[in-house]
Amino acid sequence: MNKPILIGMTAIALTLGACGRKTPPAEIPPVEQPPAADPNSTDPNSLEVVELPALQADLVAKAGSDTIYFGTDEYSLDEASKATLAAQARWLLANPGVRASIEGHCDERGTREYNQALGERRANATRDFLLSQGVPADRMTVTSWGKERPVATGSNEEAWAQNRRAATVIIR
Amino acid sequence: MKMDRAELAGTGAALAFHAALIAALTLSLAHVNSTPEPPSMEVEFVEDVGLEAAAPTSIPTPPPASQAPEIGEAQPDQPAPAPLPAATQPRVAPTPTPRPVQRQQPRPAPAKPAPRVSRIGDDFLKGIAESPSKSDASAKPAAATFSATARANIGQAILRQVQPCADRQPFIGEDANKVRLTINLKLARSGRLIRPPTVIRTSGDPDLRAKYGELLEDQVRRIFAQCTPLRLPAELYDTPTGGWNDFTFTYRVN
Amino acid sequence: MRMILTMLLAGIASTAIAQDTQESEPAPELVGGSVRSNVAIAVPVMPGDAVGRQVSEVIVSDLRSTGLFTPLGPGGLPGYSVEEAGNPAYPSWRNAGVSALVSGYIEPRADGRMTVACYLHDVTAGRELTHQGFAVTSANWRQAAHKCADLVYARLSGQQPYLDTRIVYVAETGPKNNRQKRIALMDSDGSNNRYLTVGRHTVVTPRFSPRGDRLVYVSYIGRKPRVLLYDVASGQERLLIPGNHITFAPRFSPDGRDVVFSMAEGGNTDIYIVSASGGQPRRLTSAPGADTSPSFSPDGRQIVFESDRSGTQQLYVMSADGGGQRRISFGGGRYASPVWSPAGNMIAFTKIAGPFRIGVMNAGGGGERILTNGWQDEGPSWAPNGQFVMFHRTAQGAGATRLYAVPVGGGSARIMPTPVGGSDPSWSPINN
Repeated sequence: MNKPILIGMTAIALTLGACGRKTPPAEIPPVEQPPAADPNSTDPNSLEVVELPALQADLVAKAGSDTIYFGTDEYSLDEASKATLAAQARWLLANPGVRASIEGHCDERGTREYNQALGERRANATRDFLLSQGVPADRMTVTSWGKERPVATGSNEEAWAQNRRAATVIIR
Repeated sequence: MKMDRAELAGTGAALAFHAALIAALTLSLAHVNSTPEPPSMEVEFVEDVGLEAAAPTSIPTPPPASQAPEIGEAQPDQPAPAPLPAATQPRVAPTPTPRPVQRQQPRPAPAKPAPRVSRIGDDFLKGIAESPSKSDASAKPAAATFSATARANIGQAILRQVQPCADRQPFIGEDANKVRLTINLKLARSGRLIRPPTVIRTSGDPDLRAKYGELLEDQVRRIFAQCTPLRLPAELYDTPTGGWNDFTFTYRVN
Repeated sequence: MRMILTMLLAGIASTAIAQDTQESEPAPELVGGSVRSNVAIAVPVMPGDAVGRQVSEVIVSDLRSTGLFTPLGPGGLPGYSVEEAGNPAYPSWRNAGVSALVSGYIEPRADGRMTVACYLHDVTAGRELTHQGFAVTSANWRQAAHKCADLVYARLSGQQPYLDTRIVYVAETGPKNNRQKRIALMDSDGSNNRYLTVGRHTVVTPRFSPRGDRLVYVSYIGRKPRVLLYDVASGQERLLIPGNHITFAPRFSPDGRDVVFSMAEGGNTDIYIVSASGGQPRRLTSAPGADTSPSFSPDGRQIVFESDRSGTQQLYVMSADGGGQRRISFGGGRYASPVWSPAGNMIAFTKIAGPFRIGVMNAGGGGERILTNGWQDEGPSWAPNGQFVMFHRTAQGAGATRLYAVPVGGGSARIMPTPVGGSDPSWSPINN
């Protein structure tokens, strides 16, 4: 191997060795402290997020649903969605100790990267409405799953309609 | 040649510099760390392109052109068949041309029935004899000229004979037809190549030439390996004004 | 005296003219055919070592995968000795009806490795076309076989080699609504498949660095898509961008120093570039809309990307500093996931017009050709010699995904041998 490549690889190895870890092992213990303890960390494992299933069930019970739905290639909220979100906002205000991950999803009829962007539009629109209902910004985080997590497996209108959604996930 | 001092000094310096250059080149080459090559192979220069004596099966073997009719006086001639390489090809295992002639000398009388072969036809004078035989020589006028017409006809004849092999060449790329090779052939009287085809010139866009030049040369070599020996009139092989012993043409794919 | 001179001159001139007339006639032209048929090429068992049979088998499989050859052997073909490798009996091969022959031998070296010698012969013309020897450890015999197949392919097709390469992709298992995804690495013929992640987090779109020593990919670690930078030799990885940002669609610049990617924020997705060794990202696009799937031209001067700023997904090209953004797709339908070809003259993309199909166009736009006909074909990646495009195909319903490669000049797509399902392939450069 010639010199420049060796030097470059050594540099990268040293850089990466300074912070990263080897490929994450199968089981990672849950992160106890609040996430994003070090905003400048490049350690992937500093990002773990903990879901709270019991509280999630309570949200669904009290607000009616933790999910709203969208039209094809759309990210606007219809009246039903707004009503659901208003109820979610009330629950969040009544449970101040937890945060919410607002997660946008798409159906399979888009290319992968475009759907990652579209999912974020949906999650962002949802978060904006919850903001307007009084939920503090620092209690919410936005993400996009693109088309990676469908709930319905068919390749038909019914399945696609169920997959175009934004879910409010209760996290620590 | 007298040299003065300045010239001597100059020449000496030039020689020393050249020696140093050669030494430096040799040393630097010794350090080259290239992909290990297997022991270098002797490249044999096969003069006889088309290793096997491939009999021209499509054309019936004509009789020895000078076989006399009826009377059965078998002319002293070599045994006919075309597959035998011509005696003018020095490298090929020589057919014992002189000997059969001598052997046949005593035979003429008893051989009477044999020559009554009905293959003798109108074209016996135009037979594709590989070497001129007596009757051939006597049938044709003394000196053939390689006129412009003859040149054109010969060119067409050569290309016609190799066209079936040219037609079989594989597709090598959409823009391969933009490259043209100019090829020179040196032919023996037998109609075989004396040496592999030589590319005199390659024309076309430089990038396309780099990409397709070698592949087109491959095709020309294959064409002339498969579709030889060529069958051409002996008297036009080598005349004072030219002949088919030396033939230049261009090649491209469609 | 003058008379004699003039006559001499006239004589010389006329001879010259006569000569000229002869030589200025255009040479007759032979036109060869362009028969689109595969070359019958024989690959007998390579002598010298027991692994010779496997070497020949890999060569046969590689040559078949190019779509240009009908390889024969190694079974059913006569063997030969090490000494005969360079001097085959052309006439008997010709009688067998083959046009070309791959021979060679394997011999041990003083340093413990072995030499795999590879010869290519033109059987029809009865001559050797090329030969080369490859020194490899005995464990690495496969690479010598790929190198030999590349030698044959390049010499007979006029193209650059591409068989001695690796593919990084996402291996997929499980049902559509609980799909497990892992980053996987394999040789271009499907061998030596290994996993780089364990499948705990969803991972997508891995891409090779220009020298094949690093990857960028997206992991949903912490429930958010984030770009990771991964060193192949050591397995070390880190976040490309620290903190709480949604980042995806990463690609290296041709010099390997930067990574261009998308970041989504506040309902808008734009393209950014950052040094692979860290630092502040620079923003390249700011139009409202989703700007994503950036891909550098091989000279590093331009970036092609997709944007829906016009209302639908279309392809745009800009300078590497973000200037001069202009649309290049006008064919009707939507265009996504553009990738610039290694020679710089073409862009591959996903065309959405009902189904998703893989297509190519000229780098300036125009000359569009659709190469595939699946229901959902997407995510093209170029072979390093620009002759093939790999992509993944998703089936309707259960949503099984498989990798395919299609010749850019036209022809059927061929499935890639992966152990389980696969998506998001990225082709490495030629291995050194």
